[in-house]
Amino acid sequence: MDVLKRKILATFAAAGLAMALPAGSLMAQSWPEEPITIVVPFPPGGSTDLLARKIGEAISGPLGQPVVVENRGGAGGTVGANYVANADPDGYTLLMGVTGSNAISAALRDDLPYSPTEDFDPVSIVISSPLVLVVRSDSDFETVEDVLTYARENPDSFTHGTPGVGTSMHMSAELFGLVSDTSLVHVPYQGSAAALQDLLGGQIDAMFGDILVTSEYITSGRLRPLAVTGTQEHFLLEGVPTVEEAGLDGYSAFSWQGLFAPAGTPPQVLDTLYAAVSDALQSDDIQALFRERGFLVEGMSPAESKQFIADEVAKWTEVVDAAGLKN
Amino acid sequence: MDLLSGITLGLQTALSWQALMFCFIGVTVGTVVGVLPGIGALAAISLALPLTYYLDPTVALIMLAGIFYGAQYGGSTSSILLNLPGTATAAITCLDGNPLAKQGRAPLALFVTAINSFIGSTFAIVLVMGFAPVIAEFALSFGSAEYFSVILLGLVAASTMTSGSAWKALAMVVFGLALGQVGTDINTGQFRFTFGQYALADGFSLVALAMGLFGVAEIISNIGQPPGTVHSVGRIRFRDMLPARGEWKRIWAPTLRGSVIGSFVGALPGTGPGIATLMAYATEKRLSKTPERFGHGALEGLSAPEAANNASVQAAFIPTLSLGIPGDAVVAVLMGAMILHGIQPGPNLITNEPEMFWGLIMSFWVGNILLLILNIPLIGLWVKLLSIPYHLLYPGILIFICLGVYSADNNVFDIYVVLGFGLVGVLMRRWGFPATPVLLGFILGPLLEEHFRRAMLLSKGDLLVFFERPISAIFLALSLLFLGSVFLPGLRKRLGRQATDT
Amino acid sequence: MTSVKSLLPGATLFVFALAMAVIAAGYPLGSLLRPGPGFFPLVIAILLAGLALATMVEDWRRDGGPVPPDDEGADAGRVSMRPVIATSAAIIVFALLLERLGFVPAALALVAIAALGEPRRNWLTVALVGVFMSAFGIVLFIWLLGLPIEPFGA
Repeated sequence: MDVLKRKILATFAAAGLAMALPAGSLMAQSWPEEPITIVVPFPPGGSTDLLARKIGEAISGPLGQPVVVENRGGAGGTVGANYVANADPDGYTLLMGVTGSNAISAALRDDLPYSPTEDFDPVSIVISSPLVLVVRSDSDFETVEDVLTYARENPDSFTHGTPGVGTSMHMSAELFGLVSDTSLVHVPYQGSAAALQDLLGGQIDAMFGDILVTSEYITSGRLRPLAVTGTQEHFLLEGVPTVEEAGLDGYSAFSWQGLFAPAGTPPQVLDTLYAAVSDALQSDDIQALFRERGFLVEGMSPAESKQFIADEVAKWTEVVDAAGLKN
Repeated sequence: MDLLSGITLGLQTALSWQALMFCFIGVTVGTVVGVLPGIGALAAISLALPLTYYLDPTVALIMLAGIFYGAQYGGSTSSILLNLPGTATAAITCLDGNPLAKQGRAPLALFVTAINSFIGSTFAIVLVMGFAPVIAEFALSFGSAEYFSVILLGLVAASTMTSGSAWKALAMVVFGLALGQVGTDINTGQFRFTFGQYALADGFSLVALAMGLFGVAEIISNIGQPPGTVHSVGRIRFRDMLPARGEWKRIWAPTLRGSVIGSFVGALPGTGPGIATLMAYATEKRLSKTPERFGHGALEGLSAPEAANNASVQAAFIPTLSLGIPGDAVVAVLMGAMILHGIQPGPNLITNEPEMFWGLIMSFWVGNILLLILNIPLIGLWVKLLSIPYHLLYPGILIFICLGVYSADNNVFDIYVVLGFGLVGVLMRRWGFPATPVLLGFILGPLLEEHFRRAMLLSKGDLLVFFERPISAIFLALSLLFLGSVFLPGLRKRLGRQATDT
Repeated sequence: MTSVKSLLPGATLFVFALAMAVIAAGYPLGSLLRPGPGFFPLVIAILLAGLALATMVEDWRRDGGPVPPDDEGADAGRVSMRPVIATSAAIIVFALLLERLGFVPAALALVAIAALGEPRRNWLTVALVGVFMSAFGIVLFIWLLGLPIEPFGA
């Protein structure tokens, strides 16, 4: 209640300021005058943290201000996202948001205290990364077709592990079930390492996994990739078809990460930020790092990003509703 | 690569001046954050992680790992001296360590802790060197049914470990289970008992719970006590630290058993040092001819869990280094550090990065020796802490507790949680409810539910799965045996007494 | 009459368990073989209620006699309200000030308010402790550990 009131007031204040006076644009022109904070809604050490630090480092020089990364973890990224949604829209507090915090959670939870579409002005969807459907290399499943045949003959038997309800791994699998009209058994874990452990140990059949993490097990011959979830072949997994190529028409799913500002941030600030991010993405250093980590560079503009988020929220809402996952 | 050349390579790496220096920094920082209430290894490593972006990956890991096991040493110190445990393992150290300190034998308790930590670590390091891949493969054969049975054994052990009223201890284990239910249900994503607070979606923070029930409650009870009654210390001589001849005899067997239990349970990913430590303590209490001394300063009750704790911390690296699966939350952050440095932990690590693997393992050893050298002379200094008047000490402790719980997620909400549990802790003390079982129930409960439900999901609702799988069946039998050995004699006694009463 | 008072601990726990059961019953329960999110909380709440009753029986039997000290060495005797209130207030004020006015004001306020919990205090000593803790905290938490808080200001 209090938060909501504060948010409404802040929005009105910002809108009022922007309409009544050129003060907003004056502020925007001199931006940035103080250090910028990028909130990472996860503890340090994860891929979002790395991305935020690398991007922060790269845009700090051109913007002429230090960029500080602040980790505010909790509830699958929603605690940190909510913090930024309620921050002043002055361009000094930004969020490195992900598929879960800025799209899926809106589909999954009615009581989410913020709206990914209305409470944020996206700066840029920075990267995306598809997932890969993997099975143990000693399993009978050689192709996606094998999985589908098995799942059709034995409903509610094919088990797949995920790092939790509402993660992009989970949603990719739900979409897989919807498009192929099969029912897979969702086995949620506390984090992807635990799911991987059970996959390796033969407790579950498959997993829609992170490409970088699973590629280690693929090259060592423990796991077999069946398909990638994106729309094209992935450079770390040459020769592995996409799910669509493997027979599921219209299937595409991937996780992404992007930079967001609170709604009401002056457009000039967004543009300045986007220009800096866009330049950073051209640097050899970052290109090399992303390649090593299996990231696909997106670098969408604020307008493209806004449309993208709306599409993602709509897509996952459809999947959540169809699968009856709403909480 | 054979063992000998591995060890040589590892020593070359770990004894380079750079590695030595950062290992020393790591264990020192670890000891300090371990001693300070509220900041655990997890917070310290998370906070130090960004600082290592510019270091050589092996050196960075050596330092971060040093913080991890250094904090275990330090955590025991504040538990023993001030009854301020920040983790479940430290809460178990408190059980017999704090009474020893209150009997004026703090130097002895700290010395035994240091030596046993060293022995436990060494034991596990040898295991990591020789058998890491084998143990890791064995750990992989543990499915949810096996985990359920192991955790059940842990819970049974937890409910029999305190020495007051058995009913109250049992009630407090279940109270801990209840507190552990707060947060997101893993299976459905449903929020339970969060009362609309997103800050509660991940449940109460363990540190906030421990710091509240123990730390804040302890402080409130101690404020206003006339000086001198809180603690008394004399002059510390080296002789005071050494156990007497008879005491050595009592220590060595528990230490070995603790090391074994710690190494094996610690190597199971996801169990964490809490369960290993608890099992070591419960085992000693079971085996002892004089279990009534436990909880009143029994050296066995201090040495076994200390050895188990440190062994499990080192053993947690087994699944991480050989399979890329982190043993517990802290190791998961360390794994994140590897990834940041462009090293992907996984089954290829030992072959692809032999220098890192062997360097890290050898650094564990170097680090543990450094810790021993660092800690034994420090014992005198730590004990002197007790001679600082309490009214000067506790405001600082309160600040450390508040900032420590805040630092985990940078969320002020956790400060209110710590206060809430502080008040609960005060009530519990007044009513004679023990706090340690709450902590253990809180840690084990969510795991128990998670694995039970997953086992049911995977077996399509067949309860027999727990008995059909041999490892699971063995642990279930052990739990029964344990329960029987605890409750049958008590029940018989009770029945006998009732018979004479009437 | 002391017996009634001796029932308070168990009764409190029982009420807590009851409240938990009511909330848990609102979640989907599932079955033993396919437990839903409400299943475990409900089982735990019922167990807890049972154990609360057991401790009440035990306390009633002792008939208001002295509570034996628990094994954590705490003296189960009187806790006066003064330290409870002072410490609580100190922590709340610290939490309120930390992100608004900064670490130093929050720390000073905590030290000062907590000192009110003592029967007697020397304000000079309290001030020294406050200054020392502020300086120590800045060095350790802000400089070394890099917490995202400011010494002064938000």
